[in-house]
Amino acid sequence: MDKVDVLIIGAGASAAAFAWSLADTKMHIVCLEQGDWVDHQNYPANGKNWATRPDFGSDPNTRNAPADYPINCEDSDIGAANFNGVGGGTILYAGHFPRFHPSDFKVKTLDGVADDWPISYETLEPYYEINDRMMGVSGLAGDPAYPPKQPVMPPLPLGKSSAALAGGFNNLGWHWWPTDCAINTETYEGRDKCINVGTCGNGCAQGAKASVDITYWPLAIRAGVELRTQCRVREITVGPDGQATGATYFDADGKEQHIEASMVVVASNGIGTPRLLLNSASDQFPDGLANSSGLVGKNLMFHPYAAVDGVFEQELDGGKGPHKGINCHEFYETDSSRNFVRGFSFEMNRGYGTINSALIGMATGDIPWGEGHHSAFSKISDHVTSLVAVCEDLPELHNEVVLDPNLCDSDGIPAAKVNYRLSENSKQMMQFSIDRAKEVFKAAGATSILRELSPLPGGGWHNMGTARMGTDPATSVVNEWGRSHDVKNLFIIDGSIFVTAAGVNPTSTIQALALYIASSIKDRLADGSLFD
Amino acid sequence: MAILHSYTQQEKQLLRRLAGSIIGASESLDLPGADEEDIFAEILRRVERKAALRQGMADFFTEFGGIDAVANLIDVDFQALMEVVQKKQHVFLATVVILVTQSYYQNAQVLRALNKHDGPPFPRGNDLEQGDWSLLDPVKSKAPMFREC
Repeated sequence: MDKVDVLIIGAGASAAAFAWSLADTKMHIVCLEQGDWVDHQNYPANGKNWATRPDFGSDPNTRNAPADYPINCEDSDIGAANFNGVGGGTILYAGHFPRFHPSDFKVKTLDGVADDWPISYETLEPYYEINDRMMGVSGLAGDPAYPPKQPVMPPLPLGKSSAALAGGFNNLGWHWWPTDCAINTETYEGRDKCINVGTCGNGCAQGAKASVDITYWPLAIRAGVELRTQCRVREITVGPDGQATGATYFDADGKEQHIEASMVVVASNGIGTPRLLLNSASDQFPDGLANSSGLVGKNLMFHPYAAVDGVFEQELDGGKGPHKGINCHEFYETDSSRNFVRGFSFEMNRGYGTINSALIGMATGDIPWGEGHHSAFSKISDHVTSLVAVCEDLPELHNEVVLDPNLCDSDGIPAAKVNYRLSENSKQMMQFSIDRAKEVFKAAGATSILRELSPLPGGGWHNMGTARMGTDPATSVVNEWGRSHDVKNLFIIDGSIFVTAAGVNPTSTIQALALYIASSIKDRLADGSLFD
Repeated sequence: MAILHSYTQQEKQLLRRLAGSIIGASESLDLPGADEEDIFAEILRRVERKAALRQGMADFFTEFGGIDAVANLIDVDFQALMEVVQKKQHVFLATVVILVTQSYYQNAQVLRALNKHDGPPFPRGNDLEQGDWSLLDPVKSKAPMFREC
């Protein structure tokens, strides 16, 4: 029988940071990951068919790899996106690495909506800094939208696309700034710099993008953490005292195993984590583990995305280079003159590769079939750039992750079902953002708008809020340092514990939270109060 | 190993004409059509791997009066056929259009004619100009925008 000190479930962004930090305790730490290591030589960029590889798409239902579990999104306005394997979502993310704003932790106090977090920006600030160094964040100091912070290397090049949009923002007098990105602009910690391959969203063959399989995990493993792949956890087990005793899982051969642990840490993302907790129901916890509040799976937040593509006369970057370049936080904070609360950030999507340019143009009717095809294609290919609004979603009880009554994964474990509807607030915000994006394109000299989308239908990359943190056990699942209110040796460290979603990408904050929780655990291990 | 779904010679011929009608050749640009031999071979390879397309094609033919009627429409009034299909958002043809486009714009001859790199993007990479960083000067002079709390 396996017996370990700490069991971590999942090997994505939060787990890697947490494992690395906790490794210095010299405890026996084991991480179970349902997927496998990703072979970087198998990334699509290594082959001529790089733009059409379905195995590196972000929809688990169409990817349908052995490591994937189905997610029923029939009753969701936004489809779920993820990657299952060592590195989790960081394998496919764009490396966009903004921090939350200080105001994001105080939305109830400031704007009278949702809830305040039980921690502040200042609580996480030292962990943001550690994480920036560990991941390797490029950017530029001096952004007026943020308190002072110092990226560890220079920003990504502007390129033609960012420069075109920057001119538009300047003409309107609006904020913009080079984006913080977990992409090397110089050789850093043994990883080479970005060479503008342009395939960030399908895996970085160069290793310049900081996915945690090449940042935190090698260091954590060298420090003694054991990472077992192709191990899918079915349930967290509990003893008669109501404490977690470990987990039952299926190994690489499909054989059921049990691992005992003194402490269980769940890091399976905002959909996988509630799924596991709900699948861990028992006589003692009939509504699911750690769910006395009834909030496990509730308050699911995505980032509803609104996107506008603009066409320029001059040649832009197309699909060459990192997807991200600049952002705009002009509309980030609540403005009472608008018909919605909270706000959004714009992120630039640099452009599209050849195939996607053709497909989008044909879908919109701007590139005809037959006669005129080639002429129209030449006006769009390498002439389009995009603004995407990352809109802040607000927590709503009816947006939820539940267990699907019929669907199971390949090991027979009940799958997740997402019930999610966009709020009126989100719809108003998206429309406002589309109108503002069009203003930017006009001010930047774009000749036409190619496409607008709201929401991006498969844009559910950021799954948050389904096991929220708080000081009151009646209204939260974990306390202010990630420990379950109900099960005192159970911790949750991923985006599930977010109280609100902010209007920026969450990975930086997910990892800062994981480092903060690891630090909190180490402090309490030292003074003997960890399980009090 | 992917399961292949075979098509009759007549169906293949029709698919090829369809591909050439969606993206035709351009002599002035030295571009082949999507019905060019190598490109169509790639299209067919992709089509044959899509299980749902087999039945989709049969439904498509039924809807338009059979394969001969569809072939005639392609010859006589392709645009009218496309307009009808686009209005109906027929899944079969929508999927074929995607596969034709993917195959066409991945073809080395096409990419070279378009002056685009015809190999894997890694390890070659791309050049990305730094751009004019003085554009940032007016933003640098802005007062802090974040809310203190």
